[in-house]
Formats: sequence, C-alpha cells, structure tokens
Amino acid sequence: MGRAIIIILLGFSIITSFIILKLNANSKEGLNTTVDHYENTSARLIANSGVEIYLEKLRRDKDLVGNFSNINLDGGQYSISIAGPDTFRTITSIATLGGTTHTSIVEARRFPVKLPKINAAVYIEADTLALNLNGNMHIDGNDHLMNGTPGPESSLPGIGVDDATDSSFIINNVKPKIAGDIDGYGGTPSVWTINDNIDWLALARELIFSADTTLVTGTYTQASFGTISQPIITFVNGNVDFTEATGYGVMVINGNANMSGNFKYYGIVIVYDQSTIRCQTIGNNSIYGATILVGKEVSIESQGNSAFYYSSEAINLAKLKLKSSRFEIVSWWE
Amino acid sequence: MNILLDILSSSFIGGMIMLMLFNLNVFQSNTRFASDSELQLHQNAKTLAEILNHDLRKAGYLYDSTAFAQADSESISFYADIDRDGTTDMISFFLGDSSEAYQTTNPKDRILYRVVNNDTIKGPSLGLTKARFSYLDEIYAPTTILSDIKYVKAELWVESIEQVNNNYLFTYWEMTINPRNL
Repeated sequence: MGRAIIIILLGFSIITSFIILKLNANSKEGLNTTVDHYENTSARLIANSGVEIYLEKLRRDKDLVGNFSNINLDGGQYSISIAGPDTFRTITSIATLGGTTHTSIVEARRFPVKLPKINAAVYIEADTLALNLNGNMHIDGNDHLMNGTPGPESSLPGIGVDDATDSSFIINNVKPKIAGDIDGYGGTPSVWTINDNIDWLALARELIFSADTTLVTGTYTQASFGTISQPIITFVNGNVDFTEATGYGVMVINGNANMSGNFKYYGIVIVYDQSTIRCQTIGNNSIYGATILVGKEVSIESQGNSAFYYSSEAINLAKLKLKSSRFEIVSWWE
Repeated sequence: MNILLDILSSSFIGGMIMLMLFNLNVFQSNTRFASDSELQLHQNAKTLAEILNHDLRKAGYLYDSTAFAQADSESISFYADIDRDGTTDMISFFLGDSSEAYQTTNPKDRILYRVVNNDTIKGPSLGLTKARFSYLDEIYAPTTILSDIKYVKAELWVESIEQVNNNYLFTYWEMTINPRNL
C-alpha cells in the first residue's frame, strides 16, 4: 500500500512539474519576444539619436569627419562614421543593445550660407539717422580687391539708404570734404536710395545660427576673427570695442560697434539692433566688402582715417568659404 | 465478505486516483496547448508588426516624388529603394481573402501579401484577421491626399490559428510610423 502511494505521489509530482516547467518555458519565451521587440526598437532609437547628436556636433564643428566608436547611450552603445563632402555627407550610425544591432544611414547636405545682396559700400536702414563725420573718411562703392587695387565688378553706390529723406539728410549734413570722398556709382557724393526689402532681422538670425565665434560685450585688442584661408562668421552679442583687430568673413554685431586703432575687416559687417545703434570709428580703420547698419536710430561717428570700400573679392571669399550650420536631410535609412 | 469489500474499496479509490491522474494529464495538455497558442499569437503579432515597421519606415527612401502610390484602409503601396541597390522599388501590402488561408482552422484569418515590384511573397496567415491602415498629415490630422501623408497608422487584429477552449485567442497591435523620408 505504502509503495503504491509513493508511486502515485511521484506520478502527480512528475506531471505537475512538467506542467510548471512547460508554462515557465513559455512564459520565458514570451518575455524573450517582448524583450527582443524592445531591444529592436531601442537599438533603432539609439542609432537615430546617434545621428541626431552628430548632426548637432556638425553644426558646431563644420569640418567634423571620421569615426567615433562605442559611445554609451540609454543602456546601449553607438558608433558613428562621418564621411563625404559638405554637399553629400554620409553619417552611418551602428547601435547595439543587448544582442541587437541596428544601422541607420543618413545622407545630408549642408546648406550654403545665406548672404545678403550687396547694394552699396555702406547701406543704412534707419528711421532716424545721425551723422558726426570728421577726419579723413573715405567711402567708395567702386570695386576693390582686398589689396586696395581696383576690382573687376561694376560700381555700386558709396552709401545706400532705404528712403529718400535719408539720402537728402546725408548729402545736406556731411562736410564738403567728406561728401567728396563718398565715391561710387553716379559720382560724388555717391548716395542713393535703395529699397531692397531685405528682412535684416531674419537674415541676421540665420547668420547667428551659423556663427563660428560668438563674442560678448567687451574690448578686443589684437584679435583675429578668421583668416584669408579660413574666413568665419563672427557674432557679437553686445557693445564691442575693436582695437588692432583683423577679420575675414561675416561679422554680425547686435549692439554698438566701436572701431579704433588699425581695425581691418574683409567681408560683410552687419551692425543691427531693433532700437538704437552707434557705429564709431577712430583711427586707421578699414572695411573691405560691405558695411550694413540697421536700426530704428542709427548714429555714425568718425574721426581719423577710415575707409569703407566695396570689395567683391572679399564678399566672394565669404560666399565661397563660409559654411552654414543648417543641413538638409537627403535620405534617412533606418 | 470483508476481503471483497476491501477489494471493491481499493478498486474505487484506485479508480478515483487513476481518474484524477487522467484529468491532470488532460488539464496539462490543455494548459500547454493554450500556453503554446498564446505564445504563438504573441510571436505572430510581433512578426507582422516588424515586417510592416521595417518596410514602412523606408517609404520614400531615395525617391524624389510622392512616396505613396496607393493608401487605402486595407492596402498600401509606396516607393522606396528598399534594398539600397540604387533602384527605386514599389512595395505593396494588401490583405488576401479569408478563404486563402486554408491551412489553418481559423475561418477568419487572412494572408498579408507583401509585393516588391512584381515579386509576390505570400507568407503564412500568422493569424491576421483584420488590418487597417490610416494616414495622417504633418499636424496629425487624417488625410487621404497621398502627397500630404507624413504618418502611417497600422492596426492589426490577430487571432490564434487554432481554437483554444472553443475560442480563438485575440490580440490587437497598433503602431504609428513616421517615415523620415517623406
């Protein structure tokens, strides 16, 4: 009898154990299915995030190329490879999470930098204009090379303004000596009304987004903002004093600009503010390219020797070499 | 007499135990079958979702014009270089009739056809009884204009292939896919 009970109990135990093991195996397999789906999804998201992170890095570091391996993110890892020119940059992101690997391949094209159409050596857009021009100020809309010799392009006005009242104001308020030094299209004083309908605020914001260097309020002595081989977009956020500084490319100043000593800039200088701006030049300063002053009230003061020359060579250098921070996604494989 | 009573009693008890063992065996078979069916249902739903997810995310890849050629509630066709070989492919998904899935006992299950160019891949039914595609524009509003489609919402109703306790097990899977190339 006892033996029979043992056999029966063993039978029950075996069957029960078999059921439990089987249910447990299925439960485990079901969990694996869920985990597998989670890992697939997460690996894809990690790979895509890797691409997004490096697109942001490319915005800041415009020459970034190469391989970047085993970067940790969200419990997984991704490796990035960046190759190709700006016109067709390929970003490959391989992510791993657990035993799952996902590859995302993105082809992106860097947008060209948007530069304004240049209509004058100095363009002023203001509701109220104030001038205090002294010394030897030379504004020339005739094209110049960056070495000061004549350039190949047609002449532009020396000064362009957005309404006729301002052009009359300039002609009537500058000293005869300085009026004679406003050269360019149409002869001296070359002051013309040009309504270009450019949204300067939007354009400035676009350039600021792509800025290579950002400066804050302060005095910058013997500083360099780009070179002839590597011009840059400089954004100045505040009031700034430049002394003995040089620069190439585009400079956007959101505030007042004070240039003294031997400030030399080759490219486009945009001084803008939604209220008042003051542009002061003291000493031997020169801007080859174009100068644009935009604000509700614009005040220009000059002493010493200052030169504002239209230079298609300096502008073309900026157009050719400056890089925007915006990318167009050509294709996204995930 | 006592011996006869003992034999009858022990036979009854033995019979009861045998019956319990038999019931336990039937129970474990049913439980195992239900558990297997549930697991298979889960895996089938995941497989269907992954097939759609894999392909729909590539809609418009290396194709410059409107990516969708057809966008109905039960069928979808789109262009993409699905195999990255440099040539544009047309990928279509549509549901077959319930009579086509004759290898299963479920009378409602249907085959999800995946056609790449002219090559039809007719897979097993995987228990799919109903699929519905809907399309959303960039502000997440439903649209039927092919060029406005930015999101594809896919809903899958999946049942077990075999009956479990006189019923078919059921699951529902919903996903909204934002193909990045649109």
